[in-house]
This record gives sequence, structure tokens and C-alpha cells, in this order.
Amino acid sequence: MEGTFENTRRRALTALAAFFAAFLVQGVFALDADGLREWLGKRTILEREAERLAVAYTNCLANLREPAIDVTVPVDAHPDGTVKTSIKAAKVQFFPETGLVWGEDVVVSMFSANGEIEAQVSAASCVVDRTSKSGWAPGRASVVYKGTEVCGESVYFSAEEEYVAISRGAKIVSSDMKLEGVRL
Amino acid sequence: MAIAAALAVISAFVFAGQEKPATNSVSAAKRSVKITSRRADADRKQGVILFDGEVFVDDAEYKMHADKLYVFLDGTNELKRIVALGNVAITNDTRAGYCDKATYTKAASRIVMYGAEGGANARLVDSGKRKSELDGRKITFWIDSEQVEVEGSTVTIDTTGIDMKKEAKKLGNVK
Repeated sequence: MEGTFENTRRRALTALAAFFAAFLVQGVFALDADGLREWLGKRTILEREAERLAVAYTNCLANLREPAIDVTVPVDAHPDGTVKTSIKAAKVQFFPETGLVWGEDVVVSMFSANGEIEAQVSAASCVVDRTSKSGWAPGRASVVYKGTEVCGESVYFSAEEEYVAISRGAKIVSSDMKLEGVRL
Repeated sequence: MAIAAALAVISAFVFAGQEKPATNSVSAAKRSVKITSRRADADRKQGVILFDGEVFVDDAEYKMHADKLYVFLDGTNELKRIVALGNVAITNDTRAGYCDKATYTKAASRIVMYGAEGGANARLVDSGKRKSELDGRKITFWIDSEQVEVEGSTVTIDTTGIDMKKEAKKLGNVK
């Protein structure tokens, strides 16, 4: 029984971590301005998806049963065995019947091979749909990556589409840019 | 970060060809930039970032306001094109650019500022020592050559301190 619980918890955390990590990979396609109308259509569709997940989040909250407390688990490793990704959460619960994972005070940390933190994703709370590989964080969420911080509230994210939408108070702060030759 | 650097490029070249104090030069320096908006969408797969509503870019060298700001990236997430829409204002200490729409295309190394359709023209204002104002329906900058083309233009230059009789005489001597 203990083993089953551990597996479930690990599966839930792995899903969350993999999800967040997906946003740090490079995009492979480009869009010109001509494709803008099509892109705006996609944006509208993803808005509906965000609404669906906002409802799912509320349902998860209503159905919480003994979530795992103060969990810290390494979920991915470098080839030499050192931790690549770890996840820490104040509370986590997996809903096997819907494939949803709910978490509170979630922090996903990604490490380089020499143990330095490369990126950190934080969410006050969130729900992740393992089926659609998308999620919703109703409160504040932030990503810190290579000198750049992106944060805001009411955040939708899709690993499949490599898409993030911040619905309120979007902020990007970057302190890592070279401005060679730029002058006023 | 591609977006921030690109915005800095826009700001830098909006004022290209105007008086540039050497003390303001920034070369290969790192500096922080903050972009805020009501809403933001980032699509890495398609290479689009949209800042929507009360967009404000706060950089050490300039400030920029717009209703919307699109950033288009190429396949390696390098900047391709930027489009700022609605109530666009780029300002620094003494200079300001205002327009309804501004685009920056990296491949063409070109910035175009547009006035509002049936409304105010695009405008560049220098309120420094030598006051000047450039106004037009469409203002195009070729960054590499620092050439400017203005359509439907008005240029106002502050002549304080300039001996206009002398200048006129000079012009009169031109055959």
C-alpha cells in the first residue's frame, strides 16, 4: 500500500515537473505576420481550454482528500545520476479518474550537471491535466530562467502547444541582455 | 533576451540621425528591462509573444507605451519582427516618438512608424538644445544607412541662435 501511494505521488509530481520543464525548451517553428489571424484563432481556442481548466481546478479543490503534505521529490536525473529536476510542494493530490494533478505552493527546480539552479518555476497553486498536458494556476505563478523572470496571475500553460497565457498583471524582467552598439 | 534587446534597438533607431550625446552610448553592456501589461501570451511553438493592454517597457535608456505589442521570433527564438499597436509612445530624456503603429523588421533592418488612419500623424520630437519636430503619415528608417523617408511630412526646426539673413544669403549664393 505504501509503495502504491509512493508511486502515485511520484507520478503526480513527475507530471507536474515534466510539464513545467517543457516551457524551457526552444520553439522550433516560426510565424510571420501573415499567420497572425490564424494564431489569434488558436489563442481564442486556448482561452476556452483555460476556462475548462479553471473549472477543473475548482472541482479538484472541492474533492481534495488527504493530499500529500510537504513533498520534495527528485523527478529527473542527469546521466551521471545528479538531480536534474526536483519538485517541492506543500500539498499534492492526484485524481486518477480524471488524470488531474492538483498542487499547492509548488516549486519546480531545474539543475545543471554541476548542481547549479538553471530555472525555477513557482505557483501558489495549480492544476495539471495529464491528458491534454496543460494546466491552470489561478493565483500568482512565476518562471525564473537565465536572468529573466516572467510572472503574473491566472496563468494557463500548455506543454503540447508550448504556450503560456498570463491573464492578469503580466510582468517580464530581464537583466541578461547584451546591447552591443545600442545608443540613444 | 530577444524581446528586450529588440525593443532597445527600436528605441535606439527611432532617434537615429538626430543629435546623439556620446555620454549616452551603451556598448556591449548588460542592463535590465521590465515589460508589464495586463495580459501576455507566449507561444514558443509558433514564435509569437503578445503583450496586450497597457503595455509598458521600462528600460534604463527609454520608456515605451503601447496598447499592444507583438513580438515575432524565428525558429531559433531570435527576433524577427516587432509590431507595436495603438497609442505608441517611445521616450527618453529629451526625445520622443509617437505613432499609432510601429514595426521593426530585423531582416530589412527597418523601422516604420505610422500615423492613425484619419487621425494624428506619426511624430518625432526632440526637445533638447536644438528643438525639432518631424511629422508624417508614415516615417520609415533604414537602420544601417540611417536614411529616413517621410510621407506626408512636416518638419519644424528651432532657428533660435541662427542668423537667418546669413543663412538666406548662403542659399542665395547657391547656383
